Amino acid sequence: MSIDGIDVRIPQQGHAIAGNPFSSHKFAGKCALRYEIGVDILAGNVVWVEGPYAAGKYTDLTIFRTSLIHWLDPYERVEADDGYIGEAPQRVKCPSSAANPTENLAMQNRVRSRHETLNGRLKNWEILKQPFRHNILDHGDVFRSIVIITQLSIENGDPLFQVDYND
Amino acid sequence: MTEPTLDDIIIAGKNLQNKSGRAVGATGTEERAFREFFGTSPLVATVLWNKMAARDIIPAEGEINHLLWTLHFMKAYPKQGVACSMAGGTNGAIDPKTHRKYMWPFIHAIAELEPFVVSTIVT
Repeated sequence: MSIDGIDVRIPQQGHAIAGNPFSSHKFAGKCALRYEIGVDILAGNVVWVEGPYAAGKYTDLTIFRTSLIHWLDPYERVEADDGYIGEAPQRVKCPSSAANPTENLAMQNRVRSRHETLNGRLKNWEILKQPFRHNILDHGDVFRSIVIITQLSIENGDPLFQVDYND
Repeated sequence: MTEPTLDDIIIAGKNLQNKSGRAVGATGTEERAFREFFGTSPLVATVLWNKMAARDIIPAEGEINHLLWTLHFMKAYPKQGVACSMAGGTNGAIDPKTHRKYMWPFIHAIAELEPFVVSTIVT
């Protein structure tokens, strides 16, 4: 499985400075919620959604350690970017990990760029692109609804691009 | 309620796009217009409805139109007035309370499909 975090804007809560629990570095310190998404590498399906978390307080790695890591089988690892290097190489395969073979880099890059394609599809929905104007408690359901619709699109004629992976 | 067909969804979509009186264009063009408006294809909207129906989680008094209002709301994220004008289609704007009454339950119902659609089978 490949995993990555995605930040989604919410109305500003307090100042846009480091230390604000909702402050997202992806939006110049403005407030956001963070979700973790997992994609099945071979089939290209969305197989994991976790969140929402406050983007300033929970890093990608913290979210991974909070939940998904406990669901992995013994010796099972996920493909991720360098934000997850704290769990490499035991639980995560990161490009910058010292244990990562250089010959795998191109293949891993394709897996991660496909993941960004998925993030792009989610951000095609204005409700995830604009700051969320409704009850923040409804945000999780809105995000999940869009992930479900996107997964149904993947299953019904609009798949993510195929990647070859053997490691 | 009987399960809607793909054509039912397409016709309901055309109604909401204020195109009900016009001739149907090329399939590709119609589908692109539908996607632009509702964020996904008529086929996926049909599958979505059927999955909710199979698990009996369609909100009370929910209709195809309400599902399409919900999809349009998430796709365009308009302010209240714009959303209500669109949801009325050719009949004029609907009441904002009516819009909220159906839209949020549909969002929650779609989210309930997570264990059935976002699979836990990992390779």
